[in-house]
Amino acid sequence: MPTFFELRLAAQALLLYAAACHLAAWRGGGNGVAARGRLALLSGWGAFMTGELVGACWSYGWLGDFWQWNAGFLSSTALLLLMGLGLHLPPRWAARPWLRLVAGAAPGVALNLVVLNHQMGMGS
Amino acid sequence: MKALSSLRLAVAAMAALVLWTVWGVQMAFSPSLAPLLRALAEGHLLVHPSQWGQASALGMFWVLGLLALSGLLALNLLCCSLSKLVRNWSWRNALLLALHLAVLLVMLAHGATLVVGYQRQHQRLLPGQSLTLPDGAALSLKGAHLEPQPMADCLRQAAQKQTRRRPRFPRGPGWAEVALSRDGLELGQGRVAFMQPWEADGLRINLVGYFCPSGPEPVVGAVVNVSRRPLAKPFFLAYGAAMLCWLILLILDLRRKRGGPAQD
Repeated sequence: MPTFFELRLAAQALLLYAAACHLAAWRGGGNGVAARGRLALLSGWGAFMTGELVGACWSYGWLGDFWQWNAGFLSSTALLLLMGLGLHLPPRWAARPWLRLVAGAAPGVALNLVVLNHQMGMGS
Repeated sequence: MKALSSLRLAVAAMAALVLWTVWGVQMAFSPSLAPLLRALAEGHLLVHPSQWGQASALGMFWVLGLLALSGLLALNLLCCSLSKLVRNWSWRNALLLALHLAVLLVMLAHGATLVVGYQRQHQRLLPGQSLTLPDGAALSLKGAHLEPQPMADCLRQAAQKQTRRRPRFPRGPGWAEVALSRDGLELGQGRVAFMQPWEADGLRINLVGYFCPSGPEPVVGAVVNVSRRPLAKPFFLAYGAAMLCWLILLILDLRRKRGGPAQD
């Protein structure tokens, strides 16, 4: 199932771009950059979620269930929720630049840490 | 209703769930949570509350916390979708509503698997042995066949995988013949191989490995996963619908962004 890994890579790239946009907005890039960051975050969420759908199909074909109760699936859930959190900031909270930066950049940083952890052989 | 549908509650519930699942990841291999995760996977933890007493208190606290927080998020998702998105009608809001409701269905399907259906993981069967399932059916292994795979074949498959020339997932190096019966009446017989499950009477049998017990004569046994997941199709349909809504919304947002000034 190479599609699962390809979609993860796509999500990684989009979320890193979202983090960069939010950083630029925090440093005075303006609302246009922030809007681009939000769109990248939404795209990253979709790419990641589609990857999870492919992963669920893979798991169903291989192990007979679309969900596995293990560390890998739980960390994916945490990442999805982190992205959802960045996309659902109330307007008053989103007006605070530092909060918008944290919520917009955290998914990219977290996903890269998870992938790095896995690549280094420490993942489950 | 207003408090239940607030964005603040959504953010708080998601933040709490992020922390909760990260805690779960840290504990996934610990003796306090690992047996409970297995019980959740097999679908008998919530069906038989009598087992709760045997479980570790910390593990049960995590499981109940996860269920409570997920339930709160699902309730918030439902209330928010119905109150905010329905109020202001537009095609974009309709798509947004459909996306949120599809995600809610995915969450509900996940929750329902804890009480509907079951799974038995890594069941080791030797030819002639049978396994009694929770619903009274019996699964027996008629035979297992494992072909020795020369190293050259493994290397060729790995090379094809890298260059993506492999047309489809290769058939495994072996297979197992299984039969399903209930009350002595045979319901069917089929062959399973790696990534090629067999389905009968709503049951799905997946071959996940082989084993060879020590003894005077080598006998190949099969390791199988048996699952009954009646909600698998609705789950995949809801998930697919959510992704379709997301894609259309993304295209609409991109077109709007190209057509006018950026909005935050």
